[in-house]
Amino acid sequence: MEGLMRMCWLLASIPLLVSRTAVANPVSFKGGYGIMPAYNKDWFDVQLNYSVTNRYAVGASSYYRQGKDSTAEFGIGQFNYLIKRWNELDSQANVNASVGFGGRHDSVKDDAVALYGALEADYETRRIYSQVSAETLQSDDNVQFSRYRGRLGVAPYRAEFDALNTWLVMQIDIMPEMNESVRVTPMVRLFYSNFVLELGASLEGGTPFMGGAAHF
Amino acid sequence: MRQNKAFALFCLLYLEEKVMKKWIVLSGLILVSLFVPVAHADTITVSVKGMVCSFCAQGIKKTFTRKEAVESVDVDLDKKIVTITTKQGASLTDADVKDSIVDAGYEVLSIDRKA
Repeated sequence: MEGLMRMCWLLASIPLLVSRTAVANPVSFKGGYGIMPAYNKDWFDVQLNYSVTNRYAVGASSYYRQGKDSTAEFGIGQFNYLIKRWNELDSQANVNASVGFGGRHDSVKDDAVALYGALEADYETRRIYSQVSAETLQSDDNVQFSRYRGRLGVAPYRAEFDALNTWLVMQIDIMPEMNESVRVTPMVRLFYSNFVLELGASLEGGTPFMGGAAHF
Repeated sequence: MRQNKAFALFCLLYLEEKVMKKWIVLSGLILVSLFVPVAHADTITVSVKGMVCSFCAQGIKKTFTRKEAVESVDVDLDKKIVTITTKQGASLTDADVKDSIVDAGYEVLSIDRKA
């Protein structure tokens, strides 16, 4: 069992070795690659994925969490699925789910097998953007990190396809297992071509937030 | 005086020959163009549903530009249309266009063509 766990950890750690600065949108377009990093003072997400169709993607991700009692790193092989998309003339809405399997390395405990699960829903027009998500990282020795997130954004102007898009976004994170369990972060979200950059800081402690995404 | 007349006649004949040659060449070109098929490009205008995010709509551009037949792709978020120009002599069927839009995650409302 220990050997199997070590093997799982080794396989799942590959994305950690490849890159510690990536994370991707759950599903993009058929044949598209996604990369999306997100950084905060005490957590860090990275995902690389490949959209096999416009409905599902496979990927590898790593998650760093500095909890109340210990620090954990997760390496996860991930499957993302677009459950439903509503394409309207002036809006789009999506519901996505992700599941993953991998390993966890902990600063205090032994390495363990880990599971990942997430559910995300979003709605946007050219002026309004909203998103809610819930995700959990669980290991077989009962270590858990969850995050519940809400986002609401407005675009001060309607940018054209080839222009710089600017969004002002308010993000609320609830992470019960972290020291600062509720974090409200205003941020600026910029799109240009196939790149996204997000920069903000939490209201409470001025904790910096930096995120990004790119599709290729 | 007689020499001058002869020279003027020579010039006239020389010019007429030049003009005739031009007309023969021009007529030949016109005749050839009537029988040789001319390669042309298509301009396809697609009305698309759900295109509200420029970052996400990059998928449309990438999906079409990967195709051999496509010369250029323009996305207009205000008008909600995608304009595809094919290369000279190349074409895309309506089914190709629809499949590509769906692969990028969107829905087609209508397809219009200009040759």
